Amino acid sequence: MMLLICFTGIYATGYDFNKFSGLAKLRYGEEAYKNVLELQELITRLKSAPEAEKLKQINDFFNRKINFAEDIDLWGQSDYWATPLESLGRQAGDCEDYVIAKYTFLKILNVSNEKLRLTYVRAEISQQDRKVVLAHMVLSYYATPQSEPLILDSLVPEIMPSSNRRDLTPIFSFNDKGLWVGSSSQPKGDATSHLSKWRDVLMRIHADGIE
Amino acid sequence: MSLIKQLWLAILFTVTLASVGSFILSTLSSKNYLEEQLQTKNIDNVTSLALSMSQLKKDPVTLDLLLSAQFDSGHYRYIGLFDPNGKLISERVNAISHTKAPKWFTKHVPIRVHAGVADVQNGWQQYGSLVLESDVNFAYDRLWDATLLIALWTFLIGLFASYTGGKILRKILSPLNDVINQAKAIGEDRFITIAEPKTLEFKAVVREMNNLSNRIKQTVTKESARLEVLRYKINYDDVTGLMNRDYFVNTMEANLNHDEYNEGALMIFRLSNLAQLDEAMGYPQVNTLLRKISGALESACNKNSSLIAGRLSGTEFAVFCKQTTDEFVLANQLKDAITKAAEIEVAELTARFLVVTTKARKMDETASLFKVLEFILNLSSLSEENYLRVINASSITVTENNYLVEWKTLLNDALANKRVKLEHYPVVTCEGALIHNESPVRLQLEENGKWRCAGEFINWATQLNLIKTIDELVLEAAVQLLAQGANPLCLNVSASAMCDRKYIQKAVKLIKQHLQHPNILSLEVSEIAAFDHLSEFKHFCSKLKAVGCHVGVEHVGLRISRLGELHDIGLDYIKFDASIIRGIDTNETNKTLLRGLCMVAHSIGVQAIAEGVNSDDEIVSLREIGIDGYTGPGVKFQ
Repeated sequence: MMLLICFTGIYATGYDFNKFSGLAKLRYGEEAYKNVLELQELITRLKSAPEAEKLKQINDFFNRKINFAEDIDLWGQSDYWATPLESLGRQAGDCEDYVIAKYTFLKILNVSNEKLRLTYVRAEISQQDRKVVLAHMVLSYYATPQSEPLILDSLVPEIMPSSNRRDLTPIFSFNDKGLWVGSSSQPKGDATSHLSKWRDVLMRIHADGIE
Repeated sequence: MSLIKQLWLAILFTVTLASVGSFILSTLSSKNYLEEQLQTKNIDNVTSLALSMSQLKKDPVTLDLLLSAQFDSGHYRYIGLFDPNGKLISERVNAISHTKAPKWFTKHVPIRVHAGVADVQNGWQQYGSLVLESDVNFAYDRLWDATLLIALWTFLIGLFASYTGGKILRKILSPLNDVINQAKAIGEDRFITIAEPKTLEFKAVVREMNNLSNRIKQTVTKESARLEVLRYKINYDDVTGLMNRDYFVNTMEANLNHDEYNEGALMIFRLSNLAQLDEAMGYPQVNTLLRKISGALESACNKNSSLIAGRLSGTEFAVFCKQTTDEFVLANQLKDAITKAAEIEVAELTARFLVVTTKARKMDETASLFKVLEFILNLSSLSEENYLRVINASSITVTENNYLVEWKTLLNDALANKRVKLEHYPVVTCEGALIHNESPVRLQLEENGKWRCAGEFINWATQLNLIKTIDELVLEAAVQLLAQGANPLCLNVSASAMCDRKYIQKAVKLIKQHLQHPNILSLEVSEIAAFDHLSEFKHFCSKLKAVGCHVGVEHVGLRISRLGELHDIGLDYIKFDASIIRGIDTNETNKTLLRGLCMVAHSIGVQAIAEGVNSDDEIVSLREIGIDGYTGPGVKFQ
């Protein structure tokens, strides 16, 4: 329990709305800006809402606003992790872009980092009566450390407990615990050094005005 | 602190600062690099271990084995597995790892790396989290080694930089020493010139100082030359260039009255048939003849520095020898010389000479000597033959008694037993203060016998090569007296001692050993010795001035025109010969000459002292002229 309180304290997330919305307008135009305003209203409304409500609204918001697109088409790279600003701006992204956006904004809404995991999953889906296996990513929510997680997915709009998602097999899960060091909100080490994809996207999110 | 030291310290400071700075920076950057690498290692290793565990069946033994395998095969300080509530499931701690870096080093340069943390999943369930810390001791080892190496290199490079920096500085500043020495020399009135150094700033300074020195030298040289012309006109015969009667008599008188004088000889050569020659050859031809005669006499004087020659009147030449000599032999030699010089091409005519010579003893009346000689000459001239007459023949017997061998025994005995003493004649300033005591030597040839003055034995000592020994004994005696607290002394150094490096070395050593204030000892040489051996004299002066003694030139008179050559020596004083001083109160032309000489001396920072002062009237005139000090029979010091 001590560990949990400690982490909550440390990872309380700051959010510079003005910077975020300004960048959206500057880089992606009016429509992106409108979306950001809409998100802002949602955040304000959800500030004191129960966590279940926060999960539902955020999940719905991003599933609605971001259209699925392959990284190669969108960014010209086979695997690109986009920041929420980029995803909202382009209004497109692939599975990990949904997960990153949801993870980021749930943290802004004071959902504990300890309860959230980005989970690599093996997904079996039916396409024209054929079973297809996909490498996929979802956001898992653990109400308590021992509880069964709720799955926030971009393929299925509804939030369901993991037991209801027989199509998904978890492989590995992580969050940003251990990447932020001490009381500093900066990743330890030199900004010019080589970063993992995860540290890289966290840095860029930070640069967009989300601490 | 000297400039070179200050600059060197500045270099040292800069080098130290740069070395320490780069040392600290390199250590810190190594530390940062190591921290970053270890941090990445922690994160990567914990993630891959967690990933492996997530895929396994969650059998505690299997997981523990996996943890062991990772821990044992890698470099870790700690690996721990906690359940989701933070309770420990399994851990490994490395307690034996240590570093060779000392405690203080790890305390002041800590490598701070945070543990890597990752989650282990059991299906959708959280199984726990892994905490992993790498062993930092090998990093400390590495950092410590690198630090030592850098410290060593920094130290070596610093050392090298300081050393070469010092060398380069010394090279850059080396002309400065010359500049300082020149400035010092000018400060001491030695107006030397030196080669211009290459450094621009030094060059400008040296050029100006050289200009100053040259100007002074020119002034002194010009002024001396002008005075020489004046002196020449006053004292020398127009036709032959020999001393005129007044000057010859003055010089001779000064010698006879000198303390060191004992016995000499005077001889007069009369050209008895001048009128006849004049008639036969004409005025210009006779002048040429007279010049030939005077030339012969002059060359004799140049060969023997104890001789002076003068033209007393139209027909008479005189030679004075200031040392004991066989006047018969000398007069004969000179007579032969001038007879040969005066050989005339016109066959039937010859120049005929009448010669009279006598001994001249100390305190003899000059006037009466001349009177007797002229009387004899007038008697002789009647015979109209070439002849030579020695009067006062008893002197020959005296000389005969003193055979060289006998003198050798006597002198050697006196010197071996150090029967040497110094006389004291005061030299005082115009205010009556003592400058120093002139201290001529006295020798006692026989035990408890008569103390003899230099004039009595110097001729023999010179022949027997004992002069230097006497000089050394005199110096020892003087130093001993001074060390016992005597008043300032002045010693006369012979030409041969002055030119002798061994004597100079000995003098320097004695003075250094015994005299706390070497400036109470003055060493002087005669004008003749100084100018005949100018380079040796300069060496002599530089050595003795370096020790702190005073140096001077005595008996200055005959070679006034060369005074300019002494401008760069740093002489303390010159003593003007008695022949210029004698009767100064009545001789207006000599006054003018001496006034100019004093001015020249003062312009190169040299004290002007008059020798042979006899009367109070002379003292009054000398004060008016601007002389700094005087000495002589008429000078007393209470």
